[in-house]
Amino acid sequence: MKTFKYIIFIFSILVYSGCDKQSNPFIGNNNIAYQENLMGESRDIIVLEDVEFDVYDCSLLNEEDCNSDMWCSYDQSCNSKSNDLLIVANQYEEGLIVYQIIEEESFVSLNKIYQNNSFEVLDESSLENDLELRTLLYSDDSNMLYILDKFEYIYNGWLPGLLESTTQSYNDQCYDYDSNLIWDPIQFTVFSDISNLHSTQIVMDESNIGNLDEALYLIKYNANIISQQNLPAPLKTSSSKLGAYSFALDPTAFGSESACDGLFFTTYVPDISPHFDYDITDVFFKNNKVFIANPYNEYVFKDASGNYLNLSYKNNELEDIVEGCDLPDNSIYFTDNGELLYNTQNEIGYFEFNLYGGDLSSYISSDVDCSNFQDNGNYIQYLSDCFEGEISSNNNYSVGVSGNKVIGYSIITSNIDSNCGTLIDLNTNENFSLINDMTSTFSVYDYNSNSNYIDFNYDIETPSKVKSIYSFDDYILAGLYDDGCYITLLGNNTNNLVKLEGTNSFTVNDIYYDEINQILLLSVGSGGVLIYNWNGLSANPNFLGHIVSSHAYTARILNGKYVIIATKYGVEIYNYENI
Amino acid sequence: MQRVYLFSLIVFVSLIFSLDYKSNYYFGYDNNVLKYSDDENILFSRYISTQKTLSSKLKILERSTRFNFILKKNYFLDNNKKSNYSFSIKLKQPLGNYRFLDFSYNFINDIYLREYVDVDQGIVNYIYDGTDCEFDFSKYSIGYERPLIKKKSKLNYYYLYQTQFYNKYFTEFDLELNGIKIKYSNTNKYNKYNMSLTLFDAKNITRNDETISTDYMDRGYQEFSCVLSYEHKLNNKKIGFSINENLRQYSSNIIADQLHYNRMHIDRQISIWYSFFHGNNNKSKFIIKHRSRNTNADYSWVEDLKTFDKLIFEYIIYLRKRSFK
Repeated sequence: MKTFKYIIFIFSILVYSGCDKQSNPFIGNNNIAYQENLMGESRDIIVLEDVEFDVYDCSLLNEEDCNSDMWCSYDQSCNSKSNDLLIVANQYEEGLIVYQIIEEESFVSLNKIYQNNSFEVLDESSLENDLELRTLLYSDDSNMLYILDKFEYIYNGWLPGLLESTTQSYNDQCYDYDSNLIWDPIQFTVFSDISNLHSTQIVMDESNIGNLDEALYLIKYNANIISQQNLPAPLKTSSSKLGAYSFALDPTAFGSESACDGLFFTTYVPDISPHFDYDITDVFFKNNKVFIANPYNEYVFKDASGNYLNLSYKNNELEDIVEGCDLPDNSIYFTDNGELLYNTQNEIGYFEFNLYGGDLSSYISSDVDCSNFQDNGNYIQYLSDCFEGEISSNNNYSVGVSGNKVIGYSIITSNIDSNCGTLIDLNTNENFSLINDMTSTFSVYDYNSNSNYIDFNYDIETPSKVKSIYSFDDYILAGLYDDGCYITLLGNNTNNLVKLEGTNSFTVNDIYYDEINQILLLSVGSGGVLIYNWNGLSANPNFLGHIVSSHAYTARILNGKYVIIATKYGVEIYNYENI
Repeated sequence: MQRVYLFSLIVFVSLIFSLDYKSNYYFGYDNNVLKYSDDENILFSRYISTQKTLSSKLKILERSTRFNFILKKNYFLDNNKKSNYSFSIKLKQPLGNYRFLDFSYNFINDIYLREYVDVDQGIVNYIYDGTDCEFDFSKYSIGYERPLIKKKSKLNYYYLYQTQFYNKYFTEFDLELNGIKIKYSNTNKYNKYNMSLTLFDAKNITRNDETISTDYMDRGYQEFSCVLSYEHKLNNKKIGFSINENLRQYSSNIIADQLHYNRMHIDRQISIWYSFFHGNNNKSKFIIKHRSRNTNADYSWVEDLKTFDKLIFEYIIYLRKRSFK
């Protein structure tokens, strides 16, 4: 009996323990078509369909060489053949990679034909060999590839030259920065004579590209890591500005050999924009319109030593604030008629704030009756007595107006004594509001190629900070942090934003519209990619499917069948035909 | 089905053996019940737990085998997903001269972690927000106990085997753990204390199972733990503290595996308690626990995500043992 009880007991334990079995891994029906694991993060991709390069001359090849050449095919004679290419900007590890996309029936795969992680130029502007490729651009007209190494140089390379080793039909010695016989892109020479430039974005107006291209690039100045003297005057805080780069002559004007060797004749304009703030997250450029996400940060006040003053913004909901001395200590308020009221216990040595709701520079230049100003290009410098308020009595002060930014500064150390009252009266109307930490916006500018400057058009306030911005025809799409994606009519500055179905609380890293296939792709980070059917004519894209990929940075369509996604872990390809 | 079987087992055992029965009730507050980092929307929860213990002595071999069956249920009032149950079975076989062999099995059902994105879903025609991620935790241990100098101080040696199997739609992190543990404990008239060291090797057994996620992730790790516990008697009251420190180094050698590559953490829990007996032999205990985890990794987002701290307040009432002959 004892043995029987013992056996029953042990048996019971074992049977119960045996219930704890491992489950089978779940794989969905429309699973991944191809995965290319990479060590670094794939931050951007370009898909080029049916690419052929004129300079590759297949007629020179015999049958054997022709058949082994990816750019040629033999049929009685050797003829050129097009390829689909995928270009990947990989952060840190792999650098720039070019794949041949191989599509056979229902299978797709990638064949690596070029990889280069050793073209970073090292000098006083770029000290560490740490390519952090973030953005790619390609010009079909010039065959130029643009590669942005975040916070360092922007490079450009003539793609047929970079891929010279992939064919026997073309043979040139090309630019080789590190003499490793892998042809390299070359840095924008416009940066070589200017230290401490930090590129973070490059955009091109794809609707208006000629052989000379025209790329706008965003430069950021971080006050924490560069000296005060190297900040753009008259700023004493971190900032951003746009420059423009283009070719003076077609890159191949002097033949393929010079294009391959990086001998480009370029021109650039370093300042095509007013001073924006540091936290710009995205720039989009199309049909001569420039869209800027998060151009404005919160106001800044400093004392004469450069220490930040902590002034809160007071809402006047009770309408009990008539003048500055009505404010609580250490606070400010901007009135509907353009007075900046203040009450502070500290002396003010510098201030800077942004207004939105109109074109402040134009408003002030037409409204202020003052001959004491100086146009410095991207800002206008006024003497302090051009404005009413406490500032007018301090002759050491100047007021800079750059776009919608107002900067109060003095060349020599000078303070506005601690007090309360009106700091400056801009005499604006009720359309203008002060940007505080609760305000998020994007701005629309018109690019004037004659003046090489962007002209303010309007601002749109958004529910949260904008991460990505895009425009197609009459619509603007703004992808937000933790708040999905919104669409609005271009030219409609009434803040009439419509949220796209299903975008929920995703953070939208990238927006891309494939006009041919009428597919809108939203890359939403760890949420993957959302696919919409959209004809570009309404504010209602139709939700089509959700690709649950790895953390997605950007996505593109291939041949109307596949979605290629740049992820934190490499490239993933999905077939979206069957959803 | 498991519950039915469990209930049948209890009824069966209670029919053939004499039993002691104990029950404890826990009332607590956890200020960060899902172990979220500071950047997340931290959730608190109050909870109530009940623990029932059946114990018996089974005359199977020459010396009676001590048997314990423990069933615990946790009810999280503000976060129902954390509610779960566990049970454990313990056998302790005297070998003579204060030496023992013991075996234990502990099963914790559905330990809820958080919502994760399961990238093996592929393309779906609806918005996929994520999958609730939970795992079943099974722990087996075989131990040997012997006295050290005096019978009041003793050493325990354990071999430990554990599994963590995640839910059906989230299996990429299934783990198999093997470990060893050594524990020294001492009891005297005024106090008792113990120290233990544990070493675990956790293997990610679903790695490379042809899903996307397991291609570039390996959650395996090595972990070293040490525990120090001290309790002092004051008449019929006791005060005590314990420190539990875990040093975990993830073993992933996949550079692309940002979540685990070169990641380590120190997870520390400090507890202090005060307990006393009531006149009816019931006992009460108040505990405060502070747990903090500091993570080091190559990526700041990983450090931010995996670093947390939490505070738990708990009151336990132990009802006196009842015997059924």
